Amino acid sequence: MTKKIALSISSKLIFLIISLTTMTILAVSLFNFYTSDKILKQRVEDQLISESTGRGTAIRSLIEERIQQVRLLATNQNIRDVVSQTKSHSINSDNLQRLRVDVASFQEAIGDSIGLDDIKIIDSDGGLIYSIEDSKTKQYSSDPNFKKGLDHSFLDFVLVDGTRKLIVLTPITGSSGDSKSSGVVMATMDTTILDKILLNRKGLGETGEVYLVNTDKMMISESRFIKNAAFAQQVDTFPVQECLARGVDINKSYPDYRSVPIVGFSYCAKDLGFVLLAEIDEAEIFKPIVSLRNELLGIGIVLTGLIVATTIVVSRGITRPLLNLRDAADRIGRGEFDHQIKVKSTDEIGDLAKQFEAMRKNVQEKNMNLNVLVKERTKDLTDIMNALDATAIVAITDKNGVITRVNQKFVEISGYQENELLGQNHRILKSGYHPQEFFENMWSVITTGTIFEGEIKNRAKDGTYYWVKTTIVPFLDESGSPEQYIAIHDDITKLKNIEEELQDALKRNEKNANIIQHQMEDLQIANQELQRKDKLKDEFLGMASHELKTPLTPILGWCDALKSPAILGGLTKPQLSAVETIEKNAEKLEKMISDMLDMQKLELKEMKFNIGDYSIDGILDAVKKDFEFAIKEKNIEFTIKAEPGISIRSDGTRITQILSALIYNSIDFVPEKGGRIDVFVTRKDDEILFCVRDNGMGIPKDKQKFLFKKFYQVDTSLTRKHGGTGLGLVISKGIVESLGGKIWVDTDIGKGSSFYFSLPKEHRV
Amino acid sequence: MKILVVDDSKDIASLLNQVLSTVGHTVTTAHNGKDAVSLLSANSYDAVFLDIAMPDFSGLDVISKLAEIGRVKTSPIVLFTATPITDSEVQDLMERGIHSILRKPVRLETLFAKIEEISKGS
Repeated sequence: MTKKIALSISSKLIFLIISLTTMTILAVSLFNFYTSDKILKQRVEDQLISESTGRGTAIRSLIEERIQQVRLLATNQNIRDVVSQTKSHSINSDNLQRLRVDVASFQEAIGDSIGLDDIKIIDSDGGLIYSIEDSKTKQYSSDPNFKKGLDHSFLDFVLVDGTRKLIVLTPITGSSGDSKSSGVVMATMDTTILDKILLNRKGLGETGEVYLVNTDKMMISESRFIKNAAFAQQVDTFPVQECLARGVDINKSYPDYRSVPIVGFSYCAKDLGFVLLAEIDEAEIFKPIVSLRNELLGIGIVLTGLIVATTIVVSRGITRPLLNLRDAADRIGRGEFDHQIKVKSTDEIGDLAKQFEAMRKNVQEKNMNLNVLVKERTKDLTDIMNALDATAIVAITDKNGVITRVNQKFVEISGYQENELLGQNHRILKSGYHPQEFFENMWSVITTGTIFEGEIKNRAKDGTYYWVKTTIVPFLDESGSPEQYIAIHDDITKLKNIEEELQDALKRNEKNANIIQHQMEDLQIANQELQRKDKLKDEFLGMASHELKTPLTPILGWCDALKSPAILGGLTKPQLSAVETIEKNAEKLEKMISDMLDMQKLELKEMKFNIGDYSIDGILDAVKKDFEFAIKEKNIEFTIKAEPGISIRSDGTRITQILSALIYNSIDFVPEKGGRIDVFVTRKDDEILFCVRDNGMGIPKDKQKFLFKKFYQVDTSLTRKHGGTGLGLVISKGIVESLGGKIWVDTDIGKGSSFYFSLPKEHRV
Repeated sequence: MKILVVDDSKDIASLLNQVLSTVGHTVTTAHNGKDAVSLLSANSYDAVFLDIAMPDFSGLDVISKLAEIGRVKTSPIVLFTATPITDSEVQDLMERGIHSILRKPVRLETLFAKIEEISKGS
């Protein structure tokens, strides 16, 4: 993994840079190479062209000059004369003498400059007439050169006694204009001057040569490579064939007479009987190109090497910090957070390393915090475990009930050593007291992850029995099924023993027990009877309500009907007064019934409340409306007001009921003239405070404590006067307290009375 | 209006009969639940005043019987009760299709207001 990353980045960089540079170098090298190659070849070609044409031309003019010089000699009158005289065999000695003088002067004039060896005068029959040197041969009639010379002038190379010579033959024509030749002049010259032209190797390098080949494809000058090649070396090369066949010059690469590849240029002088060839070995021409190629290759290799080295160094520079980072990440991955990351580069990698280092510090810090937390939690757990160990008998088992841990108290009570218990199933302690179903039930409880509680009788190692009150708590794994159980036992052996003794005693006194049981049963029956009576009381009240209210309906209904002229035609004044009295008393009766029922409901805590949001103004408006008539009738000054905008969450109907009860109460107490009742409501913190104040006679201190008691009225004469049930205040108290409030009175003799009650602004259930 | 009054108390029934007739309504009276069911299953009324607490066959039994034959809503039924009744019981009865509940003792003023309400509502 490590190496892969490192190699991947650096090798990518190296590969990229090398590819780019190598391609560049290759392109430049190839361009240079081909340019140089072309220039070199062109130079060699130019050289060879100039050598071949220059020297060819020089040799042509030299040959033509020699022929011309010999031809001039052939026009000498004395020579003509002497040759013509041979037919008659009467050679004039004077003429011969003059011939000698003329030839001698010719020799003297140009002989040295042309390397003249000999001049022969031969007559038309081939007989030698004159020669400068002594000549062994006197008869030339069979000599092919002689026959050719009779016909036309020419120059040729010959081998005389193993030495190369030039011969020039030219026909001697008669002065009469006779076309037939009368003889031949044959001049023999050495090849020095001509060879100078050929053998000058200036500008031909190491392997360049210029040589001549005759029409018999025979080399007629010396070779640079083979000794005595003249007249020995056959030259049947491409330019020679081309010259002889078609008379053209050639420049081309081809194998020469040695079969060595060369670059050659030819100068074809077929008319003069030779081909001039200028040739240089290809190897020499290409030598600089090859060396150039090698140099370029060398430079390329060196450059590539340098670039590879630089790239490796640079990419290492990039990858090393990356590797450091990766190592650091590895360490963090293994949980070693305290290894500081050291990357010095100032580039993006350096930035990354700084960020990473900051992250590492952060993680290290968090980890330390976590460690502290874990330690604290572990300590908490240890403390809990210690506390448990100190107070209870504790065993932990795996899911099969095999014991994995016991505490000292467990060891003490069971009588087994710790190592005797570990690895054993908990049923080692089974006493045989409980039926199999008991344990089946226990397992069915705890295997579903539910806590089991029960009393178990166990057997200690020494065979004694002990009782434990057991709580088994299943520890659940992630899937929610129990993976181990912790059993916490309390020793209840003593309690159990007492219970057993008691049971024994009970058994011994079964008769007594039976009596007690009978008494218990009687008691139960009595209790049931009581409950039944309670219910009856309830039913009685319901029934009473119905039975009392039903007859009131026609009473009040007929009162209404009697009072209405539309229905029953109207009444006289005394009759109307009587009906109104009936009606008033029926109404009081109805109110009393209602009060009694409310009282009963409060006592049975059965009163239902309808909690909602009410505006205080709304409640007060309803109250005001109810009392308008009564207040006016009794001429009482009445004010009712509230702090603006307050509201309450409670039972509005019941609040109206309480206010009504308090106002009824006040109406009873105010004086007949100048009576005054003030109702006001304010908000005080989280409570709403209601107050009903009157200017009545007030209530003496000693009687105030009975005010909220059942069926009590301060002045019993008032009961007669106003017909109150005396239940209004008691019911009000019950309702206020049920709604979570308080009710009280502030009063004294001569001071009037202020009844207050406060309710929470937000009713709490 | 065509009105049916059902109450085992003959005093109450005759009071309502006389008062309502006087003001111009056509009143039929019944004194037990069974008669009420017979009348209500055969006729429809503009208003029905039905007492709950009747012996043998109560007002609630009448509602149940009418519900079985789908005639609860045929006539607007106003229940009379003299026994305490809880809010949830009221809610339950309203859901079964009765018009409203009046608590005894019912005053004539209240009764006329209820008839006014029903005639406006229909």
